[in-house]
Amino acid sequence: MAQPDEEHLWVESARAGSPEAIGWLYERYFDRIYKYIYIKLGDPTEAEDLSEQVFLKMIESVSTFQWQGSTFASWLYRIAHNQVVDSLRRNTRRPQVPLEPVSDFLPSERDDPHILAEQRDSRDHLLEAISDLTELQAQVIMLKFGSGLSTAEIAAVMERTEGAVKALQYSGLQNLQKKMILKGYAPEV
Amino acid sequence: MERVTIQDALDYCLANPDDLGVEELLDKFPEYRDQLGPLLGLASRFETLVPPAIPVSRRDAIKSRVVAAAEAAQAARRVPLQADRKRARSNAAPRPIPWYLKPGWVVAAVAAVLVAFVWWSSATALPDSLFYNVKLAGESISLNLTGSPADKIRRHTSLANSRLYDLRTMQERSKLADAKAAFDNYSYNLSSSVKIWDTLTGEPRVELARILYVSSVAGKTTFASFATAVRGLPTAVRETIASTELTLSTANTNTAQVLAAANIDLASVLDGIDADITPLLTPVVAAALPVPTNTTAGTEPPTDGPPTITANAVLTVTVEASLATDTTTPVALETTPADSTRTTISPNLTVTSLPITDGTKTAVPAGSTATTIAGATSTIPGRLTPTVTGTGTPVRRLTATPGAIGSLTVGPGTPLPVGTQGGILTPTRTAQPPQSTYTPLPPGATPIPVDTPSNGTPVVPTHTSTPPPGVDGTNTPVPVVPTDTIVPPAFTPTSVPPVPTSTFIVPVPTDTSVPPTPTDTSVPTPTDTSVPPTPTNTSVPTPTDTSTPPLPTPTDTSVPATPTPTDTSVPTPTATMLVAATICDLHVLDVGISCGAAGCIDWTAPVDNRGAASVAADWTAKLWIKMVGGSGYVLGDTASGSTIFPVGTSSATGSFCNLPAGVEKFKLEFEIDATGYPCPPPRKQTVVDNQCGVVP
Repeated sequence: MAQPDEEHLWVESARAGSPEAIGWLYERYFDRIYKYIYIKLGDPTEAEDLSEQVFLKMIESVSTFQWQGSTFASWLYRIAHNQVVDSLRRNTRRPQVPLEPVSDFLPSERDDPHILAEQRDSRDHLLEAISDLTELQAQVIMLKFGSGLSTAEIAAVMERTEGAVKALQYSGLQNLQKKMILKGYAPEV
Repeated sequence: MERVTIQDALDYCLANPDDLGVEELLDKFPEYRDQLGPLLGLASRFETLVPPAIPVSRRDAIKSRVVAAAEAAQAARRVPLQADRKRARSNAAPRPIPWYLKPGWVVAAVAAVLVAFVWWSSATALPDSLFYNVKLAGESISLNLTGSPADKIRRHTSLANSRLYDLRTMQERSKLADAKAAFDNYSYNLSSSVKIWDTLTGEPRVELARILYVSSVAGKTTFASFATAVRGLPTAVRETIASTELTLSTANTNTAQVLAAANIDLASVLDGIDADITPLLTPVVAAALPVPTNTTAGTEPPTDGPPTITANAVLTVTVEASLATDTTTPVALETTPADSTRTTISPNLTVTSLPITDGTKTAVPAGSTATTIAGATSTIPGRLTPTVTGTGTPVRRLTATPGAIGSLTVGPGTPLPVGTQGGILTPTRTAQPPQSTYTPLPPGATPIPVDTPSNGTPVVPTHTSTPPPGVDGTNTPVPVVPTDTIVPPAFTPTSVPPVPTSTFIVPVPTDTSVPPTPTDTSVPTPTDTSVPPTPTNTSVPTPTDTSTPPLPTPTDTSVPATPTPTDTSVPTPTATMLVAATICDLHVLDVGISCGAAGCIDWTAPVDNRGAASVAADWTAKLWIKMVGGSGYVLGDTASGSTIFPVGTSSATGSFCNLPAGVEKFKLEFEIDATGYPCPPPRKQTVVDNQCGVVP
């Protein structure tokens, strides 16, 4: 029988209530979860808040986590996904003006406002084009380029084979390229 | 060599494990260069998606809060063993936990032990037990698993009959006031079975009418026995009894009509009942005062020591005992009605045989000196007539039940001294039934003297008790003072006649042998039949009927002595302890929905139990869903279950999974089943937007 990997042991420890294990999982996943949420929401402040909520929710529920047919990463991303959906719903019902990045997110004086504007446009264009992809393609692109997950990790999160993820990744980028060209966000090849 | 696909090539380039430049990457896959180039260029634009980094201080602050929350959660469930393990654990990766120490196994093992304990404790629990609601909840679960309406009726009826046994036992223990849960549950099962039966037609309706009719007769018989006890019960219990009696009456009438319409003789229905119902058709006899030890003046105690028949029965026991002064004369001891449990005979009495005239079980082995007649859970239909031999006083006869040989009801675990002297011993403070203040001696029966004959054989008195004026001497009950008083055999034995062999088998009294009409109005006649047993046993007669048995009129000059109670085991009426809580005490405070894991939604329904005890309740949760663009709600899923709600606020919870995509709104209805209760079902519903992003 294969020896359980390190994450498996930490997750088991977290299920038993170990704060150390929770800390370990936080270090392993926080940045990815934060990026994932940020890409979905585009608001760093809310992404930060929601990321914290994801881990608090994880503490509440980790004892019920089951390995059968699932990975811890996919389970954690499912929590993050639900948090994002909840947030979007709330914002839909109670329209809010997103907080402008403040304090630490304020551009430094060295940043050229024009460059910043271009970056913001580029991001918005990408997100707009991504929203036109299929759900699975968009999810792969988000996890790959947003969260920085490897193909194997995406496969685990999405509970699909690596081959399927590679195929979705390729078709997703192809579609994205076409849509960017169609929208005029990218030059025709 | 396996050909690299473009998907593999793209994946390699995006991962870039060797940290190559774009051109270098494309050079590795020249066949895909044209296709990969634009895609890698596009991928580079994703750098704009990288969020601003969170400052380390704030990131650490978040981690501190998360770890603190984990520590708080751990503290809530920490056990010493875990604490030790935690201290021993370094920051290195944790060691694998042995399977038997994994929380799941430990919890499962503890749960299994708990379940076994609770199950064992609840199986025989009575309404005054903490586990009684567990028992009811278990029954409710089994009821939910019952399929067809006919099966449900049978199950409800069976449970109702079980409640009748519970209630009879509680009455015999003078604890009816604590039996509200049993009353409620009986009412629930009765009304449920009737409600389902009302929906049936044709042959099933007739067939099940038999079961319901028998059960209703059993219920009416049992409830009729509560009549005199009702006054002392709490209002809530009295109301339950009253409403249940109405339901019983209706059920009895309706089923009788259906049976009559089908030309089915009601008597034949009752004749063919199962053995476990038979005892329910006999009136309950409430707890009576123990019979005091006789100390009749003018007689001497038997030299060889008196026999004592000790009854620790929880059910009615009739004891008919004729004892000779030698050791060979048979003694008849009858128990009735059918179900006798934990009745012991001791000492000096030896069971020699146990003919069961109308039953299926033999319970008393021959040769026992202290014998359990029946096991704790045995049901012995019919009449037990064990024959015992022993030494002791001539005649023991203890009370009577209407239309039967007689009965002596004793409280649980209460030793019942039958008497140590001769004469007829009659407990006169039996609260119920009214007709049974004493048992007349059969016509012609002769008291057996209590003194010890020189030849060791029983002696027959030379005279009999004088019948009261106006009573036919051929059918003369032995006069009995309706007090805890032994009627002394007032005679002087002059001969040693053979012991009549039929004196101890007492025939069932007929109408003509019921207590004689009192003619002596000078006898004090307490009229309050509901006076509870007086703990001090002051021998004040408290007959339950209005007839005044005549004073004994012995022909000799011996004066009946005032009995001196020596038995201190008088049942002391316990203070009424109200255990009042029913479905109607439950109030659903709210229904909440939250997003659960793996696409499920979790719901919780806090319920406030405003009663004085835990309440087991069946509930149903219905999830209605409204699809995006849909016109209305459709039932998405249903869950049902049973929960024991302790006093105060507790919650029923559950999850709905496998929900379809495209749900716009959820509506959750939570309702507690109040069938048979005089209140609307406690319920609540809530409507929320779908915020859970449920996916197929």
